[in-house]
Parts: sequence; structure tokens; C-alpha cells
Amino acid sequence: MVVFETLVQQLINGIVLSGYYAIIALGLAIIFGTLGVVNVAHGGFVTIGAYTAYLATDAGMPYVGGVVLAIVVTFVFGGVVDRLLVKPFRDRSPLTVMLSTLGLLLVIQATARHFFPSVVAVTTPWSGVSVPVLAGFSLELQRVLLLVVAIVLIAVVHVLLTHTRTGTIIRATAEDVTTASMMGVDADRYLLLVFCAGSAMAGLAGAIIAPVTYVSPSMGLWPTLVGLFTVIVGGLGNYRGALIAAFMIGLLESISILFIPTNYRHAIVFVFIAIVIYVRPEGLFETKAKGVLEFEG
Amino acid sequence: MSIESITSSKPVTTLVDYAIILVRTLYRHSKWVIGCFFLIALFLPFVSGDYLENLLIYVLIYTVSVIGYDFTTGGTNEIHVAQAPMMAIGGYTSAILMMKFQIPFFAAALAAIGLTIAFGLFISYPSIRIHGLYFAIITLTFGELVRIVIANTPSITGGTPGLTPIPDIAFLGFELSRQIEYYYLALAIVVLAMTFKYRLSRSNVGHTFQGVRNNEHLAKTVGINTLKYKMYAFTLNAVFAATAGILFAHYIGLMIPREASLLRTTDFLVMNLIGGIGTIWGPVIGAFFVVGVPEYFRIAGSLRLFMFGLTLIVFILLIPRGLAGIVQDLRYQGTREDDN
Repeated sequence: MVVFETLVQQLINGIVLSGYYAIIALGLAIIFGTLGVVNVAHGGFVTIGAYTAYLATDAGMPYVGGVVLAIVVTFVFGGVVDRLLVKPFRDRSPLTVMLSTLGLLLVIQATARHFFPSVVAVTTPWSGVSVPVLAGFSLELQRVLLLVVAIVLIAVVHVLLTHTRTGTIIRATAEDVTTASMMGVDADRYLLLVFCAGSAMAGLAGAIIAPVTYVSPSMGLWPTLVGLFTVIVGGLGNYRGALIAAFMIGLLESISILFIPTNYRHAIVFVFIAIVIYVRPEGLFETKAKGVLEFEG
Repeated sequence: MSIESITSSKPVTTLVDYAIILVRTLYRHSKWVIGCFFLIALFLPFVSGDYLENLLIYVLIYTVSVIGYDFTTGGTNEIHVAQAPMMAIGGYTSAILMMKFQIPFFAAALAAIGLTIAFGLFISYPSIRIHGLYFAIITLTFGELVRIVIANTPSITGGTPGLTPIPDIAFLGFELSRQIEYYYLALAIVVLAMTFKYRLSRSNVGHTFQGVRNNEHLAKTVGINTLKYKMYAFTLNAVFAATAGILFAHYIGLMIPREASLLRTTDFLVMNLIGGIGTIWGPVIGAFFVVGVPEYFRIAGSLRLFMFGLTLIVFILLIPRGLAGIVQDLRYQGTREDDN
């Protein structure tokens, strides 16, 4: 029975963790799918979001205000990054953008470490409150909130992309920038919008995970890797695939704790990713829109 | 346009012209220039203090590793993100064999190089069908696995606190115990490595590397087995990385799992990029700027990381060919249309 209970508990934890990964993966996947570049600094935006929420609540703002501020800050910062570090390399190899944004990730980490040498915690009015989810199992309210935000965000993005004019334009741009431009679309503006929105999602993820875990300068590295993995496992710019991949990685990480030492939980993910890349480099889920993305990435 | 036309007919006006003249003069007397560098390197320990000498040894060791790394970045069109783990495999293997199994240094070092080559071949094999970003990620996962295993097997590798004390290098009846001996050993290896790289770049194999790097599809079309050449490049890289790792482990006397971390790998990427990918002098310049300069000015911690990130951005943005690349560009400026 004890084993069963731990299993259920780890499953619940895994689903919550997956929700966090899903928010990150969604942002990175729409950027990758539309612009065809991998933003290695994506985890850096998570860090920025978390620290913005911390600073805001520390200054007396309500937590919700902090979350909104985090979204706004990362949205604007994403725009700056796109203009400075991504747009100049749009015609070059995707590896170039990877390196330039890697530089940005280091800069963000260093800046965070300079101003916040020790870890900080974000408290919300409902910190410590747990709600029952299943018979005998309860969950912190913040974790429930995280899951709800993830689901709502996924739904909203899906509707925006498939049922609005802007979404149609973005999908058209993702498929073929040149053709979209010839149809009178100001492609550059929409690419910028996508980058900003994707970055804001990372900021949101950071602000929402901050009360669950501690906020530390190096918190962005693992989300970056997870984001990269989901994008690859999910298939080229296939954001639905990326979401499924996020849940696979989150569950794998939590469930594996039952069978192997905790220190190896990331190793399991690495092995899984290596196998997926080797066996199916096109991703686990076939995608129809090849778009601007070259298979040789 | 010939050299004379720039130096004589066109008036020398800008700083660039002066730089061009300087670079070409240096190249014309390259034997003397290299000789001077070598002499300086040879006699530097007599004027530098222990502290500076220690720094120079670091620079030399990292140079060896970057020379190796350059075989993969400059000799294939792939970027692999597992250089630090490769160095760590070399260092750890040699140290563990000597410490736990009492194997003499020479045999331990050979085994370490062998194991690193095996790892290099293992990570290069996927490049048969996986390229670019995907290849970078798959090497990253292998590298991180190495770090996780090192950090979590304390009975063999010493775990997070590290493996210490690693004995000194001893072979053919000599035992290296003083700092200056390590300096000359590292210097000798760097000189050998650079000579080897220079000779290779002029050989058939070197030209094939360039071909594979510039256009893999074309190379395949003309009948080159590109996978074979990629594996050559990774083998060469493994030999140099392992050598650097062994030198590092035995010189410092301590190996920690952090030596295999992703952040350490970015060190090599930055060194390679600052120096200039695919150049002979690039690795020395890169190692000097990344290891030597921050240490000398006591830049550490978050400031170092900050400068690092900023340097990476600036170089990618403005100087993608690196410092040695600029020198090459200056040498050939105005003499031919393409700058391959």
C-alpha cells in the first residue's frame, strides 16, 4: 500500500512539474516553430520572471500584480533580445543564435548572482494552504494554481493560433516567411510578437514557480534544457508535440525517483532524450508544417 | 591588387592600413616571429613569479584542449558540447588508475587517452544522421551523463568533494614535482600540438576537413566518406582533450565533477570563438584571453561569468571569425575576392 501511495503522490507531483515544463515548452516551441531559432536564454527569462515576482511582492505589491509585472517585463525584454541578438542572425545558421543567446543566459545568471547572492523565497497569501485533490492526497494551492494556469494558457494559445486572424497570420509566417510577406503580411512584426509572447510565457512560468521552489540565480539552466528537449522530442515547431513531451519529461523525472537515486533523475531524462534524438531525430510526433525549419537545424 | 599596390601606390591613411602592413610584415618574417615567441615562452619562467607561471601553465593546458576542440569545430561542420567531460574522462581515468590500482603513469595515461578516444568516437557516431542543433544536444546529453556519473560514484571518483591527492606525473625515471617542470612539459606539448596542426592543415587530410566543414553535401558528392573524417576529427580531439585533462589532473592534484560541467564546456567554446575557429594561433589567443586575463586581473565569480556572456555575444555579433581570423583577413585584404 505504501508503494502505491508514493506512486500516486509522485504521479501528482509529476503532473504539476509537467505543468511548469509545459508553460516553458510552449513558449520555446512557438518561438522555434515560427522563427526557426532556439532561444537558449529561455531559461534566463524564467529567472527574470521569478525575480520580478520576488521584487514586486517584496516591495508590497500583491502576488498577482507581481505575476503580471513579470509577464510585462519579460515581454518587453524579449522584444529587445529579438532585435539585438536574434534578428541580426535570421539568415545565418541556427547555431549562431544558440551561441548568442547562450551568452545572454550567462549574462542573466551572472547579474542575478551579483544582486542576489543567496536564494530568496516568494510568499503568497495562500502559502502553506493545501487543498485535497484525491482521497487521502492533498496538494499545495500554489501547485494547483500552477496547473490551472498551464491548462488555461495552453487553451488560450491554441484558440489564438487556430481561431483568430493574428493566429492565422502567425501560422502562415511560420510556414513560409517569404510567401507570407508577399501576401502583404508584415512578417517582421509578427516574428517580433511571437518572440515577445514566447518570452513572456517563460516569465510567467518563473513567476508562478517562484512560490513553489526557491528563487536562485541558476534556476534557469535546467528549464532551458527541458525546453530544448521538449522542442526536439515534440518535433519541429510542433507545439502540441512539445506539450506532450513536457508531460513525458515531467512524469519521467518524478516517477523515476521511485526506482533510482534522486541524483540520477536528470540522467534518466538525458538518456531518454539521447535515445529519442538517435532513433527519431524528426521527433516522436510527425508534423505537417515544415515551414522555415530545416531538418538539419 | 598586390601587396605593393596597397603599401606604395595607395597612401597609407587609416589605422586599418597600418594594421595590414604590420600583419603582412609579421607574416613575411613569420619564422623570426615564431622563433621570438618560442624564446619568450622558453625564458618566461625565469622572470615571471610563481603566480604568473602557474597562470601560464593553466593557459598552456587549456590551449592543448582548445587545439583539440578546434579539430571538431574547424574540421567538421558540427559543434559538440562535451569538451569538458572529455577532458574530465582523461584526467579522472589517469588519476584513478594511478591511485586505486597503482598503475604506472605511462600506462595510466595511455589508458586514459584510449578511453577518451572511445568516448569521442561514441559521441561522433550519431553525426552520420544527426546534424547541427540536434547533434549539439545529443553530445550535451552524453556529456551531462558523464558529469552525473562522476558526481554520484564517490567510491571511485571521490564524488562532489573531488578526487585528491592525485600523484605527480612520473615516467622514464623522472618525476615531475616542481611547477617549472610542468611548465616545460605543457609548453612542449603545445608546441608539438601546434606543429602537428599546422602540418595537418597543409596535408590532404587537412584539406578534406576544410571541405567537409564548408560543404558536407558537396564533400559527400565528390566521394568523401564524411563520417570517417568526422570520426578522425573527434579522435584527434579526444587525444588532445585527454592529454590536457591528464596534465590538468596531475598538475592541480585535484579533480572535481565541476570540471565536466556544461559551464566548463562553454569556456572552450568561448576560447575557440575568441581565438578564431580553424586557425593555428586561435587556441593560444583564446586560452590567453579566457583563462589568463581574468585570473590576472582577479576577475572571478559573477563578474567573470558576466564578462564571459558579454564577450560571447560581442564576438558572435561583431567578430565571428575571432581574433586570429581578423589577422588572417587583414593579411589577405584586397588581394583576392573570396576569403576562404
